[in-house]
Amino acid sequence: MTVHREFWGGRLVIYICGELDESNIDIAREEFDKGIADNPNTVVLEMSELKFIDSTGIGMIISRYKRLKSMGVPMYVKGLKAQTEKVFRMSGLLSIIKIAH
Amino acid sequence: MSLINQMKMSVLAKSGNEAFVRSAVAAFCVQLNPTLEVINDIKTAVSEAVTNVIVHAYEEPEKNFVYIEAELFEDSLSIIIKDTGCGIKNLEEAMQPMFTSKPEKERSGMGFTFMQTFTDELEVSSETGAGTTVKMRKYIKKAEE
Ligand SMILES: Nc1ncnc2c1ncn2[C@@H]1O[C@H](COP(=O)(O)OP(=O)(O)O)[C@@H](O)[C@H]1O
Ligand SMILES: [Mg+2]
Repeated sequence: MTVHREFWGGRLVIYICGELDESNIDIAREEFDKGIADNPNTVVLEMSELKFIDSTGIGMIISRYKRLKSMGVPMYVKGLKAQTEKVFRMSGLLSIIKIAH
Repeated sequence: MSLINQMKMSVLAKSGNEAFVRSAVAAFCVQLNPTLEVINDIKTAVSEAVTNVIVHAYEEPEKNFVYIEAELFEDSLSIIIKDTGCGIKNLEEAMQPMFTSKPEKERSGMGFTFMQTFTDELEVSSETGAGTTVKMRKYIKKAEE
């Protein structure tokens, strides 16, 4: 798993690539939180290179989604694929987090 | 349905082994030529069960084992993920969607729900102080040749 972020004009993009699970969740969490500390006005989770996620990743994302929501910052997900799309859908996240195209 | 193949393995309950275990179980059923969706469902369900052993079962997970068994039938894969850890006191509560005993770790409490929705049968038994056994069955849809 690799994670990196881009910040431009208030827009934070978090790129998560590879397979996200308990073994690397802390790395993803830390990068995400560094991005939030820059006070973005929009957050995009770019997942087109993410091949695998499970409930550990979902827990990390939900908790940041809630925090951003309370700050009034919208969060979008982008690039969901077969496995990640199904996990997002089954978790109910797809009905609350907006998809960016 | 007749048994085609059997597999047993045990690995230390280290989070770095999660990807290995879910890939190994998925690879084991490839001989049935499952669809990609079935393979992904198996990986997801196995990942949840193994994560639970690593995160919840042991005080010192890296010194203890997660036990994996799989049986392959013509139409299905049966998977057992077992530990000899602390066990679950209130299983009914633990299996509720969104229940987690570790909210401070930002766990979603969706592990058992995912095991249930990504497989066709789920059976969990647990004994306090003795450990937990998760049994799952997945019917295999075959990919077009
Ligand atoms: N193998 C296990 N050993 C001990 N406790 C477990 C085990 N598996 C699950 N549990 C308990 O069941 C709860 C629910 O599990 P799960 O649905 O996967 O949610 P999460 O892992 O996010 O907490 C856990 O919080 C934990 O208390
Ligand atoms: Mg879990």
